[in-house]
Amino acid sequence: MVNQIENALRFAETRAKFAIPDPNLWSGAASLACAESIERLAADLHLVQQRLSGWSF
Amino acid sequence: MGDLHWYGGDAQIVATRGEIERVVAELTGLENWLQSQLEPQNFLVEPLDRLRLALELPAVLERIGHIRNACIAASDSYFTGEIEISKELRSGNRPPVPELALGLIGAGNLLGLFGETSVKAQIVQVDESVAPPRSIYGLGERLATTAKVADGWLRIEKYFEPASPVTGLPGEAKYLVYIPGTQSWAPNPAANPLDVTSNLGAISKTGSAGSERAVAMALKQAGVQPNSRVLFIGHSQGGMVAANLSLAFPRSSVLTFGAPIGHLTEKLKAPVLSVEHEQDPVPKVDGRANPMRENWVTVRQDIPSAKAIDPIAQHQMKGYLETAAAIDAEPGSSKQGSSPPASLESANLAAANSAMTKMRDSLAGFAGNEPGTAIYFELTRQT
Repeated sequence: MVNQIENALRFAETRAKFAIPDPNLWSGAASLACAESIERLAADLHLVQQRLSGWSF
Repeated sequence: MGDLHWYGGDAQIVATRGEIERVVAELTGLENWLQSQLEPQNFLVEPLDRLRLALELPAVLERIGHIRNACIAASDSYFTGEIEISKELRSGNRPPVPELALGLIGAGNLLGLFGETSVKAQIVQVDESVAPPRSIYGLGERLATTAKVADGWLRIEKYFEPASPVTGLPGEAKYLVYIPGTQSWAPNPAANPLDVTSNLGAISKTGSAGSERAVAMALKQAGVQPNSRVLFIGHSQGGMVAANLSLAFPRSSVLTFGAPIGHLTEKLKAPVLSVEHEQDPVPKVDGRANPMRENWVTVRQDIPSAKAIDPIAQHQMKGYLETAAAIDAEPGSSKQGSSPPASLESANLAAANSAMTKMRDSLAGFAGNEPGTAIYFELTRQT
């Protein structure tokens, strides 16, 4: 069963991906670095979600 | 000297303030939402999982904050110049300066003022074996000298590419056109077309100013063809005329000092280096900041001295020559190194530096290495 925190982290992961710059409106080295940072952030949010769901007493 | 900064000019960069602001807003929203997951009332549900989340989140929040701050820094460095200009304009809507100038010409005509006349360009002097300019200062210095030689004089230099080693045929001709700023401040058209009437014409409609038409005549007499390589160098009104004329020469470039040419944003396709002083009001009279475009680099200088409060001193070529020397003194793009930038901020700065120095080097070396010919023209109105 999916709990509220897992849902919250999935939502956060999706929301992070929405923050990736649109290359038509912002491109170049800085934009690429920003997009990569946000991708890594989204991946880490996914890992947090997995760690929490695998965590039990 | 004060701070020299620049923006624009890189083919690899497209940056809209709206998009960077959207990214920053999304990240702020994400940060706030994650923090809200740790509010005390939420601990009533799944308290142990939430405790674990409370241990994981600080590192995540710190990273979001870092990315957001880096985006803001990138935005600042992209738009510093524009931000500074827009601050001055934010108090009201953008003034429709070209339309206002047209209206002023119409009203002035009723009073016998600002009426355009026919013009003429006449060769008055030819100097053979002129050394080519090799720096932005060198270009600015020749422009300043042209303005001092005599009122209404224009200088066109002609250089050739080296002859082909295969065919022995002479190389392509290149022209440098030095156009001084306003020299006559009378409200009625003067004998010298570098006057107030031409100021209004140059900002209101391409091809209408007397000075612009006179320079176009001189170009023809100098042998400039529509497909010729031309570098237009202009101060103040001369910069407006330079930008207007470049629209008719697809292989031209433009170097301006203290000239209002932002209103040509949609039309100007030539490579442009605009040099402006922070406190010089003239580049701002068209009410448009120069754009951030691949073909356009704007260099702005902040002069922190007594001169800063004197708008006339800020606008004179004497001050712009100091700025030109500072531009020449900026280290080349090799300073940036070839390794990938370490951070989001340095990536942006490296790109901007490289764009400025590339544009500078391209214009400074435009004439090549071989001596050329300088032709002086006298521009006159038929009043």
